[in-house]
Amino acid sequence: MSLVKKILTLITSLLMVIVAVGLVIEPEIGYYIMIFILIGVLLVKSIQSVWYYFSMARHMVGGLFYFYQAVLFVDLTLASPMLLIAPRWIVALYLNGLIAFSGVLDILRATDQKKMQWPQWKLRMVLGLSKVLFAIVAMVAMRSPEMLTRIYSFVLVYTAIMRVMSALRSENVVYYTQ
Amino acid sequence: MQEDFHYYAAYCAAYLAGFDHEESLRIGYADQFCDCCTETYLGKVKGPRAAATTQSQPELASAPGDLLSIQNMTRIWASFHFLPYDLNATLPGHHSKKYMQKYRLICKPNSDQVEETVRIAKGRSLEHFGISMHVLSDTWAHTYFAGTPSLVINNATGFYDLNTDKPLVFSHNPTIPEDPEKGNYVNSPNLMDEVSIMVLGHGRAGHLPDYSFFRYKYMPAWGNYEEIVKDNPADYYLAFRQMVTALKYFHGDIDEFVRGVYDEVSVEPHRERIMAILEKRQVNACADWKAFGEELSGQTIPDFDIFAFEKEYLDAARKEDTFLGRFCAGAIAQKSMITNRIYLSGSNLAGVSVDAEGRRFQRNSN
Repeated sequence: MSLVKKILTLITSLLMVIVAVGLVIEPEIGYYIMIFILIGVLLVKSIQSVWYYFSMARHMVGGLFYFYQAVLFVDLTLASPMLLIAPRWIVALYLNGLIAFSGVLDILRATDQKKMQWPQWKLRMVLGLSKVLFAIVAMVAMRSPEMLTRIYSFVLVYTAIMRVMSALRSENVVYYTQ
Repeated sequence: MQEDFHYYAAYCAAYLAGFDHEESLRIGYADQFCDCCTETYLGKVKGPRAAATTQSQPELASAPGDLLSIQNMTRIWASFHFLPYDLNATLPGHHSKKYMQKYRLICKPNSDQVEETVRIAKGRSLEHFGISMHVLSDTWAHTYFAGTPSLVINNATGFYDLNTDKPLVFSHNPTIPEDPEKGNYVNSPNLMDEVSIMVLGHGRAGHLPDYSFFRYKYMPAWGNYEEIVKDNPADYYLAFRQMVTALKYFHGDIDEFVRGVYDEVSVEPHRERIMAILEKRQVNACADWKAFGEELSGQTIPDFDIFAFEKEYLDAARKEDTFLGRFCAGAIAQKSMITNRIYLSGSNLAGVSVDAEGRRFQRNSN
């Protein structure tokens, strides 16, 4: 990671922590901020997926899979504003589902990285397992919007810490011959 | 290709082209050293990091995946291992600029780039000859893959072993040794990420392109659902003959190196022996190539030792007079030439470059 990217990572991580603290102090406003952030993230991901399919993947063998992936993201994005009026337990379900899904992806990638003998696999595995565990606990324990916001704040702080650890990680590499 | 072809076969090609034992060893050593000269190694000997000709797995794993690291990967892998065939290639129908930039990096033999690679090495050091032989021979082994991370180009499916007439099944576990008899082959997983290092070069085809005995077919991501048949023994034999042609050009026995010309005079008497080595179902042909080389020259060929010239470089007052110094000069010239050509084609995938020869710096507006 270049020095500039390290500095940017540290700055964005710091912002994430500030937002997380703000959410805990003002949970009612924080609830809506959280949903808007969620909608924003999905929107960016949808645009990226659609753009990738039409500019690149449509030319490749098996590229239709990436079309379905883009459609899925667009559907999720279009449905996501309903979260503003939906019962909060649905929001919790939605949020925890995303966290759990992200955790499963991390576990799968960590498994692959372990097979490829990448040194970072343990970090990713811990991250993935933590997300899944967190989603399960949150699903069982959550009863109020304050709790939901606190959980989301915790996710933000946790992600920020992981990003800082990643940025500060030593990048020494061992010598390797092919 | 691996050490068997890059070191021992390169030695044989150089000897058949007229170089003596010591010169052939240097050419073979430089050829194989292209697979060892990482930034980590150059950092260790305090050499110029710009001369890196490969990246180790930990180096790749720790690359952040941003534009600068992808450009660094492309400079290294496209310049030395996946020489682009046609930097101005076109396709029917509309394709995005980004797609075409990647498509144009697909490697094939007999390109403008390979002619230039050989031309710029002419009259230079034995080490530079070795580098150009590495680049030339890899154009045959790494055909149809690109030296940049790209899912839409380097992904591949439907592998089928034409020797055994069975579909090929890969695992993603590199700790399992490859075994053609048991059908154990390893490839990189598809992470569904356009710029993952898992789709750099021929990772998705595993080591199949590196085994001289393999005949197989598969479907590349870029090929519009058309299958490609790869006949490695035939390709490797052409690679060997083309190497002898290029080395005779370096030696001064022919006036010009022209693509598509394959030596017959020096290689043909050994055709059966060479084809027997190439077609033998083994993952490492070092012993066979070594025996052949020693029969040709009557000399002992030492095992490849990555550290053979390290002390000479560290102790030298004039680094440029050492093996490593000359190797680095050749590597930088090659990397500069290819990076510059990619840049001049209107692509920023390899970053920007000045021409090491004439220090020109110009970008095509197309």
